[in-house]
Amino acid sequence: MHPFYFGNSDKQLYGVYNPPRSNDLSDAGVLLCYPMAQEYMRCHWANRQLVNRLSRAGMHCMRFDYYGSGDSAGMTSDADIAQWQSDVNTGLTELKDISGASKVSLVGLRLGAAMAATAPVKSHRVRKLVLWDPVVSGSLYLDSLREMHKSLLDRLKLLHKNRKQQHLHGMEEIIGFRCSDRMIAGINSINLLEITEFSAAEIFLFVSEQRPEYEQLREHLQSLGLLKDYQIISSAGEWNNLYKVEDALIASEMITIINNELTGK
Amino acid sequence: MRERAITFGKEKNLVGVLTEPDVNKRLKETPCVLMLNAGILHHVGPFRLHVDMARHLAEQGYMSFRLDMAGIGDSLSVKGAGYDEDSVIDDVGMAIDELQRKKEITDFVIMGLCTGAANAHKVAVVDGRVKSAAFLGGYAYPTWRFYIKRYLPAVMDPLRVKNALLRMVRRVFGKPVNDKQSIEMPEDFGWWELPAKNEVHGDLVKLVDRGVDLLYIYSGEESEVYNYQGQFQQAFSSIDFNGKLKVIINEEADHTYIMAEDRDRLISQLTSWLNKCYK
Repeated sequence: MHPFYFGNSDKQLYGVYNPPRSNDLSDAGVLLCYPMAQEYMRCHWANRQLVNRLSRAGMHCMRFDYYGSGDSAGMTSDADIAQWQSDVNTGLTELKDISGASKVSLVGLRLGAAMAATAPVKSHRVRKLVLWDPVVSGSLYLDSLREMHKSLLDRLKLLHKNRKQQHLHGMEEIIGFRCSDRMIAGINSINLLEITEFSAAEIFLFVSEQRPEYEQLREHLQSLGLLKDYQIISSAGEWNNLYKVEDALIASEMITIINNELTGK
Repeated sequence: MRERAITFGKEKNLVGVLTEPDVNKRLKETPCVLMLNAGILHHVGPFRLHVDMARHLAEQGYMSFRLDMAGIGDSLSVKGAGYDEDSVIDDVGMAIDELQRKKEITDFVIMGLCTGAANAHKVAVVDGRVKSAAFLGGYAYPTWRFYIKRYLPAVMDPLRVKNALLRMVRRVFGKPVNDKQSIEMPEDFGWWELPAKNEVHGDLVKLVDRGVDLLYIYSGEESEVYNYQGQFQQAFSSIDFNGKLKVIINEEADHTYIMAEDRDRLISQLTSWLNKCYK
C-alpha cells in the first residue's frame, strides 16, 4: 500500500496505490471513484476491502480523492463536477504510469459512478465500468440530500432550539459540506439516462436495492448494447437514511461480485 | 503549505499525512499536532475535520500529522485482523519517532475526538513527548450538580411527568407510544467504556505534574454525560490544574460536528488554545 500525492502541483490529488499481491505479473488495473461528502466517509472501509480483494487477485489498484475532497488539495467549496471528471482521467493516467498496467477498469460508487461513467477517459480504452448504486439523476440526488439536511437541522434543534442554518453567499451546505453554486449546478446536470457515450464498452450495473432510476438505467444501457450484467445484491446502502450518515458501509457480497467480475473468477 | 503522505512504523504498515506551514510562516519551537482517528473513521476525520484543521493550523504556523492506527483507514494491521486498540500507544509512539527523526520536532500535541479522545488520553499519560492534549468528547464524570441538572427538570414539569406516566401505562397495555413532541433520536451515545474515575484521577495527576496543557471540549450531544461548565473541575476538585486546564462546551454542536459552522468554531477554539500555550 503506497499513499502519495500526484497531479498538477497547484491541485495535488491524494491517492493510494495497491500493487498486486500475487507473483504473476499483471497487466490489469482498477481505479476506484469515490462518492461525495458524507457518503465518502461511509464508503471508505468498503472501498478498502474491495481493493484488498482485487490486489490479492492480482490487480493493480488505486483509490484517490477528487480535488476538494478527502486529503486532496482544495477546500470542499472549491470542488466542482467538471474538475472531478478531469480528476478521474488524471487518476487513470497515474495508475497506468506507476503500475505499467495497460488494461484498466473503473469502479464507481454513488456519485463516483456518475463520475466514472462520464469522465473524459476515451484515450485510456477503459475495459470495464462498474456502476455501484450509481447516482443516475443529479437532481433526484440533490433532493434526497436536501431532505436529509432538513431532518438533520430539525434534529440539531433538539440540542439548541434556536439553531439556524448558516447562509454563505454562493454556497449551499448539504449535510456538513459546503457546496458552491457551481458544484450544485454540476450535480444538477447529471443525468445518466441522457448519456449515449459512456467511458467503457462493457458496463456492469450492481445495485443494493430496487429503485425506478436503476431500472431506467438498466433499460437505457441495454438499449445502447453496453450492459453486460445487472444484479440486485442486497446490502446496507440506505443512502437516504439520516441515521446511517455516519455508519460504515458493510457490503461483503457486493464486493465479492465486483471482484469476481473484474478478475474473471 | 505542503502536504506529504508518509508510510511509517516498524512494518511500514502505518499511514499519515504531514501538513507543514510555508517556511516563512513556520513558528519556531512549536509542537506538531497529532490527530488521531475518530472511531473507525480514517485520518481525514469526520466531515473532513482533520484536513480543515491541519490546513488552518498550517496558516497559523503549526505543523500537524493526521494518522491512521493499524487496521483503520489506509493503515494496515500487522496482526491480520483489524483495528487493535492495544496497539494505539505503539502506533502513535512510532509516529512520534518518525517525526522526531524526520523533522527534529521535540514536542507534540495530541488530539482526538470520541474514541480518539480516549486514545489521546492513553498516549498522553505514557509518552513524555506529549506536552499538550486536546480531548473532543472525552472522558466525563458526573457530579451531584450534573444529576440535579439532568433529572430535576423532568421531575418538576407536570406535563413531562404526566406524559412519562402515560407512556408507562401504554407500554403495560401493549399500546403504541406516539410522542409527537419529539423527533426520534438514536439512543446510541455509548462511545466507549469509561475507565474507573480513580484511574483517570491518577492519570490527570501525572499529566499535571508533567505540566501538560489540557483542553476538553464537549458538544451539546454529550449533555447525557456533561451538562454544565465546571463539571470537569468539580469532578476532580482535589487536583490543582495550575491554570493548565481549559474546558469548553459547544451546546449547539453534535458529537461529530456535522455542521460546517460548528467545525469552524471548533477549529478556532483549538487554534486559540494552541496560541495561548505556544505563542
